[in-house]
Amino acid sequence: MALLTCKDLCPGYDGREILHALNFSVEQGDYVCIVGENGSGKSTLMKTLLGLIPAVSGEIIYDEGLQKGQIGYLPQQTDVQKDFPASVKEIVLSGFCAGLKLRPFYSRSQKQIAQENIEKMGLTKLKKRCYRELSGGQQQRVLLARALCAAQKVLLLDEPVSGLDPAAAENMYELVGKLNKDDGMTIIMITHDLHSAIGQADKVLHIGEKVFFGSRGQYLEMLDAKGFSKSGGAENG
Amino acid sequence: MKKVLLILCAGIMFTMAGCTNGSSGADKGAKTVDDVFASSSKDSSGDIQTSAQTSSSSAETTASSESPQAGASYDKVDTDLSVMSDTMAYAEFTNILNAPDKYKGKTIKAKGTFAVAQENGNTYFACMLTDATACCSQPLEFVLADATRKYPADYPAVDSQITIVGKFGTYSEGANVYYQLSDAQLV
Amino acid sequence: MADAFDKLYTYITQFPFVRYALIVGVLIALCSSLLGVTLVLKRFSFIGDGLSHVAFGAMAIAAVLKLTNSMPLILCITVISAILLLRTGKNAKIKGDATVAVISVSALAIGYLLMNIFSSSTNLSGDVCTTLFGSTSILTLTTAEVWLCIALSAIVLAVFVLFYNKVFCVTFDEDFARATGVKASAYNLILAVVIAVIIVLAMNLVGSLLISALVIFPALSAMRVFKSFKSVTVCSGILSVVCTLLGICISIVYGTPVGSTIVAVDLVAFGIFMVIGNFSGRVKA
Repeated sequence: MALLTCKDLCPGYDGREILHALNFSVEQGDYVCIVGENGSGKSTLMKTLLGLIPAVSGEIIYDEGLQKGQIGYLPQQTDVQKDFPASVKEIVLSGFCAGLKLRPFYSRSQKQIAQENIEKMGLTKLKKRCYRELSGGQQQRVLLARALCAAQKVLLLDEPVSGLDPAAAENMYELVGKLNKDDGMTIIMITHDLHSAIGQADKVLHIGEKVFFGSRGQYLEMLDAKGFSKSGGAENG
Repeated sequence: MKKVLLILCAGIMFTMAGCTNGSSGADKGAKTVDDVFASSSKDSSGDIQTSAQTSSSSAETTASSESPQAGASYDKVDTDLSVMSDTMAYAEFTNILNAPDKYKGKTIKAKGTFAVAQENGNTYFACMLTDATACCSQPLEFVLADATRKYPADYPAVDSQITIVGKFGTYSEGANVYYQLSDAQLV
Repeated sequence: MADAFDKLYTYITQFPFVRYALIVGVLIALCSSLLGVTLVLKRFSFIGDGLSHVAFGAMAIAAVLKLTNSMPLILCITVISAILLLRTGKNAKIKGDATVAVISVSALAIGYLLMNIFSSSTNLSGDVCTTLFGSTSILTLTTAEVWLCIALSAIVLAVFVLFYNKVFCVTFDEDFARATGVKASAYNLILAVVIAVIIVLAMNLVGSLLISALVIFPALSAMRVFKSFKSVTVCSGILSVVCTLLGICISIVYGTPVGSTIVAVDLVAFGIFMVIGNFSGRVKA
């Protein structure tokens, strides 16, 4: 059984659909890239998958073993966060918020896991630093560490490298790739950056005028054959 | 998180401590009031505070028993609003109006502007107390002990600064109850 | 100076209402500043302003109805408005800030109109003025009001401490919180209610026109200097309490209006913190 299956899913706002009838499924351990032009509805799709906005029609079937607490999310940065006074440690710990249920404070084991995630993301030295003083790449790693606290199985990333310099972007992809290979984490990632991102992906979901879902090999073949993404980009550009 | 809790607790304790300190120091404070305020009141200024808090009846009876004669000078003032800051005086005056029964028969001294109202052939005199914002003012009506004085010849000019001392009481006119200082003197 | 302290000491020891004012002032300052951090960060500062005007309108209605204890009614109306405002803030047809402006100005105007048309109280102008500017209302609380204030502040503080981590999570990133299964809307609702309670309490302290200052100044000052959410929250709480105590003391000794004095002290503190913030920022950079 697939971890997540979309059947005729139409994501959109206020009953107005942005994408029409998507059909795809994600298996445990997959690394899926979602690509498409700006404004094609990638973020809307991701928010629909997360249950943040209701789908206009169609359905998402989650695997029975997959609960809300096992999905991690790395959203795009918001304005609020840019000048938010919070230490790295506080933000990473907040990934456990849903796990608190009715308890008011974090447990020792949660703090322990948070610490491990901080180390995993190479943030040990920055632990007490203020979030707003970090570089873009460091901030994304903080948010990734937080997402790891929330996620055991699936990680959804919304343009994790936007606004990062090439080295930081490379580092980010490396970390995500490692999570997929070493920890068996299922990755669903939105990206602009076709070449470096797709290099790691198992599957590609291309949305826009034409929708494609398939393995990376198939996608690349198609790109070569038709100039699929490039022409799509030009139309909407 | 523990630190936050600790500080919150400390903050609350601090305020509580401040509170109990203040009340236990009430009798001690009666001495310093003489030093700081020009008021010559001794123990009664302490009394009025406790009566305001617990509405003790003993303070009332002692105060009302000694009614000063017309023309006698008030050497004993229970509540002296004239030496307080505007904010304090106005606040205390509002408290008096909110709980007038506790202050009945007390001697009150106040500073404000002189005001006159004429209605139905009667002339009312008042001392207007303003708060620090200067947008609210409340009248403290008074009747001079010296009934031979004629308005306007024997009264200060309207809106001039006056200090008045007199005995606080109520009187009714029709269905309404009004407050005034009777046997009052301009100081 | 020593004279001022003597005077202060005498006021505090002699007048129970001064002690009440200090206790209630400290509690209100603490509550408002703790929540202020969240409000500022969530970009909700204006809601405090809107709600304070609603509270004024509610007070006018209470006065017209000749209620002896107006607090419960004011509290109810303000809480309901807070919930409605936060609701519309999210999926609004009219923009959130416009809604707030419309509601707050209408409440203010209608409140004042009602009080003038149905004026029955002898102390009407005093009521209006002290509600708007908080000249002396903190000094004229009844014992029942003092206890109500203490109880409400205690509840607000307890709620804040118990939900501290959730408040942080929802404030920092509401989408993430909801995506991972935090009931963000429930916490927003709690926040709305708590904010309304604080506004009603703070109306006694600084008057409804100045409440925003009490809510946002300490938070802004603390954010200038401190770097973590916890330290900002703690600092803004302490700062607010200190400023409020200082403000009340200055106003009773020197006869200045209580509300504006507190806000002025807050403003001075903000200036100091801004300088410190700039200085320490430059040293690091």
